[in-house]
Amino acid sequence: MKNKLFFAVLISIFTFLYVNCPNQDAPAKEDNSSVWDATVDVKVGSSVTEVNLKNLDKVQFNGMESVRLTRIVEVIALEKPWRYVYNFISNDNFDPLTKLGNDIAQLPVYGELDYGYLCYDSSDDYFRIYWDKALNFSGKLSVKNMNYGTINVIEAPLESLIVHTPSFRVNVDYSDMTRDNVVDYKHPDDGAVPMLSVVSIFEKGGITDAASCSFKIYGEDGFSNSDDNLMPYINMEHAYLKLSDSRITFADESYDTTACCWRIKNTVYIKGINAQ
Amino acid sequence: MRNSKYYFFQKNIVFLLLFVSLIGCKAPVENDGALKDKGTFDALNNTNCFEVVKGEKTYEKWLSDYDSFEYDYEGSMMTAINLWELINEEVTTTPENYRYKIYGIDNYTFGDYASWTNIQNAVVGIGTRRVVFNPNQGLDHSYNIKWAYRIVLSPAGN
Repeated sequence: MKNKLFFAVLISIFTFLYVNCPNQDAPAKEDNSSVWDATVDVKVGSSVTEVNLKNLDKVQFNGMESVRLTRIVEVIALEKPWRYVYNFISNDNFDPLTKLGNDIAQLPVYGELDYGYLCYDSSDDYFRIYWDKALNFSGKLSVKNMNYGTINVIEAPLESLIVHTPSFRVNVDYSDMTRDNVVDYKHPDDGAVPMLSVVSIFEKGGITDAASCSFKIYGEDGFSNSDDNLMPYINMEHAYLKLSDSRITFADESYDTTACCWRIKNTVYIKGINAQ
Repeated sequence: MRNSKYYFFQKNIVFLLLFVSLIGCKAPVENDGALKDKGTFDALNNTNCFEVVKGEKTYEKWLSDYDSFEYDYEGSMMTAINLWELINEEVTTTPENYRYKIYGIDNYTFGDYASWTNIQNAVVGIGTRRVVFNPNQGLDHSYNIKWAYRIVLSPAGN
């Protein structure tokens, strides 16, 4: 009798230890692995790649298991991901771009996908895109039912660039603007070549808060000036866009930087950050 | 007498099993670096630290863990390690299936991506974390990065 009692206590102790042992490999949250066995199409022109969400790394966003949108798009290894903007079409054909007046400037650029998440809402059993509030995106981009939906990768038109300041986000088509002939101080032997003053591009876009900003400039290859070398507005007032390669240039060397560097080529996106 | 021996055996087995169970419940090691007495891992501020990022995972690398050598960078000698050694099997067993971006503490990065072959021909300076690609590869000079602290892997595609 004593032995039976002894073994009963022993089994209870080991059962308790087994259940409460902090196993590092055990999932910390509920297991949603089966719901993630779904796909999203990534469409570039006529080419469509089906990306399975199951094997992509997950993160928590607002308490929901999520896949960062970068993880989905990077699977297709675009050569120039900054050349594009990204639209999100649900499995029931909700298309935010049409709701945003077909204004592609309202869609995220590549770097912003890092702050967008495809979230699984287990309470309502659906997938929805959410964005970090700091991006201040339209609620229309918070697309529901994105499992088996499509990320439409849209190439920004040539001879246009997106200018984003605290109050504006505009795709400026500069193809019909009047050009100046300017000598790039770095290439005087080329003589005067067609350029546009960057502030004239801002003006065409109706941007009125540029003077309060410093600027980070992105090329189509993702190259940009570093965060501690943003271009002040006073320098931007003397900057040009050389039309042959969309490179930021200067006629006057004294307005350029000695650090690396503001002469971004194939410029696609200019972000104005409040200079305070 | 026989019962007494049996009881003694039972008691010791119980203690042994309890001990083994508690050892099995080992706490996760949260900062391997601290155990190695290298200080807190801080890639932005500690020049001995380097982050390797793949997807949502960040691998913490201590540059002093790798064999260094003297490297001739544009006529000046620098103490360096091979960059490719940071991408070990813990990170991936198929490094050729990824493309690579490297970031400086000022968020500087080069345009386009580096291939695994490029990474195999690059070094990181000890103390400076300057990343230098072998000039024989013909990469633009802008690939070389001062104050590098992070390398990011993403799928290379087909």
